Amino acid sequence: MNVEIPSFDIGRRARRVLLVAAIVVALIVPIVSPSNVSIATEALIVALFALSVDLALGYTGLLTLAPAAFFGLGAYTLAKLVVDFEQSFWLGFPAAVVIAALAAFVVGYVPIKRRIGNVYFALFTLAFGTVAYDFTYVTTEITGGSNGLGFFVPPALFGVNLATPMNYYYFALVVVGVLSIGTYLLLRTDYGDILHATRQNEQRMRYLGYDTDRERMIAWTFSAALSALSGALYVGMVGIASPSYLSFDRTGEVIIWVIVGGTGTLTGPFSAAILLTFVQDALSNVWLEGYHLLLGVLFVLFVFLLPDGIVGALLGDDD
Amino acid sequence: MTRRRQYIKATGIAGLAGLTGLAGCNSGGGDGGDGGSTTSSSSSSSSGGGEPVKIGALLPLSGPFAATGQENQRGLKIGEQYLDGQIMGRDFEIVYKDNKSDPNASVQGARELVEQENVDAIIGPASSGNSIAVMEYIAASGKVPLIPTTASSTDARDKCNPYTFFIWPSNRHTVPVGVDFIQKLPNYVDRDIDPSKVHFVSLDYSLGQNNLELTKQAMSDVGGEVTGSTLVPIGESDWSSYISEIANSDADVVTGILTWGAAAKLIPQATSYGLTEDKTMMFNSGKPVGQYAASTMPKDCVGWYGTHFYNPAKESDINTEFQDLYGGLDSNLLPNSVAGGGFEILRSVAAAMEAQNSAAVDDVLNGLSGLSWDSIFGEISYRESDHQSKLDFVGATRVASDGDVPTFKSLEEYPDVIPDATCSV
Repeated sequence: MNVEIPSFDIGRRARRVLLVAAIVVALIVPIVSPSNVSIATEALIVALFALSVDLALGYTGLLTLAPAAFFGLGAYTLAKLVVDFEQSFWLGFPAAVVIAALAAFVVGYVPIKRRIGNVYFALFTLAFGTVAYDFTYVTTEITGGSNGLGFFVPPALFGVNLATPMNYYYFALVVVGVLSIGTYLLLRTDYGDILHATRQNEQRMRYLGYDTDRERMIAWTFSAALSALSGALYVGMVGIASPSYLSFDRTGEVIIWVIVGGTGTLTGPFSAAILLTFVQDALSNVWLEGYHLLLGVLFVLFVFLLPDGIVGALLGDDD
Repeated sequence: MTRRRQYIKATGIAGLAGLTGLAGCNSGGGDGGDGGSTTSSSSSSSSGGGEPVKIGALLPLSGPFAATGQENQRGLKIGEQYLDGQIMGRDFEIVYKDNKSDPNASVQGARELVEQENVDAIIGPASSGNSIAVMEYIAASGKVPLIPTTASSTDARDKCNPYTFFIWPSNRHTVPVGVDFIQKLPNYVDRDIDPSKVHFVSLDYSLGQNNLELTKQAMSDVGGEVTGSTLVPIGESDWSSYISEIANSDADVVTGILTWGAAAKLIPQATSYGLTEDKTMMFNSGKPVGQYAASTMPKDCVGWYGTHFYNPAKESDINTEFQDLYGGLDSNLLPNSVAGGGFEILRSVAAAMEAQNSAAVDDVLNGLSGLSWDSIFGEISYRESDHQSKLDFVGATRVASDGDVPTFKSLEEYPDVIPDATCSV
């Protein structure tokens, strides 16, 4: 039995209109709906998180089962520096990047450089995610255990008080915007083409002389660093890092966002994360268990009916 | 039939004396079932004038503390019925948020309640870790009255702030009472036991770790010692290896503090193992003698000991009414202290608002500070200096009865328990 996979190709002009509309909405959300500014900030940050996972999964074919671990690593790094070491909030961001990149290198080196297979990469990341999650619980002296590590508020930036939800929203909007556009532009370069080609036929790329292991390693490390940055940005909003940041629930959630949005599209996972965060917020008021059930249903539906995700289907063969 | 009650009727100079007057009317109190929803609102049979009062309930409706949160929610629903949906003659609404038993989600939930829902006060969260996170947010930014439903560790209690009040006893309430009761256990146990050596059992998080430290100190003060401890990871379902460790301890008495979830694992598994034949089990949290154990494991909890601040057999109008209202709920549990905590916190917030005739933050804080009222737990008051509560405790056991539920038997009484203040608001 053949299942017809729907495709809804839209033109570049329509995409530009959508992009402009999205930017306008992002700019005016806190003004027209101030009560939703916190959830909008969260949606933006997790959109960056989803984008980071798409970079690994969609562009290199590396199925990471530890995105939440890197998200949490970034959050705990910043929280630890601010709360326990009384260091600058701003130091937390580069520290999160460095620590996550080192961890990613260690976790990814053997499965990627030794080319022992993507299955082993997934298992290595699963092991790392599990250890990292348990570590936050059992090392109370370091991580605060189940109590978490906090509470703190972000400082002012150029005289703007980031402790207010609206100001932090715009701060997050700028950071997420810069990082997302930067990633998009990076992937539009030859490097992006190499990653795409490697994913489609690694052997041929190696015959052509490309060091595909190195390119995948760089992409994987960059993805982990971006996940950590989103975690650091997130903990700045909430003010406390807790073990739930690293939970497997969060990993499953972000992978489903990527699949629903469309792997290898960047905009798809980014948009799906925003949309589903708002759906979760709305559902939490009426049906507590509804969100996870919805995610499960979406996962099954998209895997069978729309494997390219929403944006993949919208783009059709255009890209 | 609906009831309308004039709630707080008298105020004092330093504190408020709460009376529970009845001015009865009609109606129908719904079933109060929680239905699993996280957001609900109260509606009165007669619409009150003025802007509705909005109270946030930040409860663990999922995650490891879900049983506590769901029971807190039942208590709030009873409170809504008791108050007939009105405070100061105005309708009130309770906005429920699930904090997922997690500090991060707790702060997020509190933020949403303050910034999106504009609540006048927050009830919850439960557990020390979640409460500490929210307390710090409230002190820094939220700035509304906050009454956690539980939060017993000293970490939570040493962070006084003007916005936070505690009805639930702290480890500093329970440990001295528990250690004293242990010293008196030889009077009640029908075999020779040495109360100077105890083995400590709890979950491995701040509540248990902190209770252990205090128990070591308190045992040392009476010339005894904690000979060993078993701290079980949160979420552990199979306690058999831990029970074996407890069984091998040198101590005749096993003490500690349990959550409901931990009690549900330890009590049946330990009884099945025969641990109670060799060890005298006495827990500071009161879980083995509380209503939850009597509801869910009535045979297994017989012969266990505990100290508790809720005596279900206490004869008072408010306790009778609480138990009647609880009986109308769709619950297979008996009226219990956790539901009672939610019920009494709501009553105290209502009392403060009624006394000040205002839901403004400063007025509610003034109303709560020093508030004293007749509760299902006996007379409670929020101490002005640190907002801790003064409570009556009993040392008790459960004995087999002719009915399905073992009888709560009070053995020792500890009135007006309140630890010395360690911080000031």
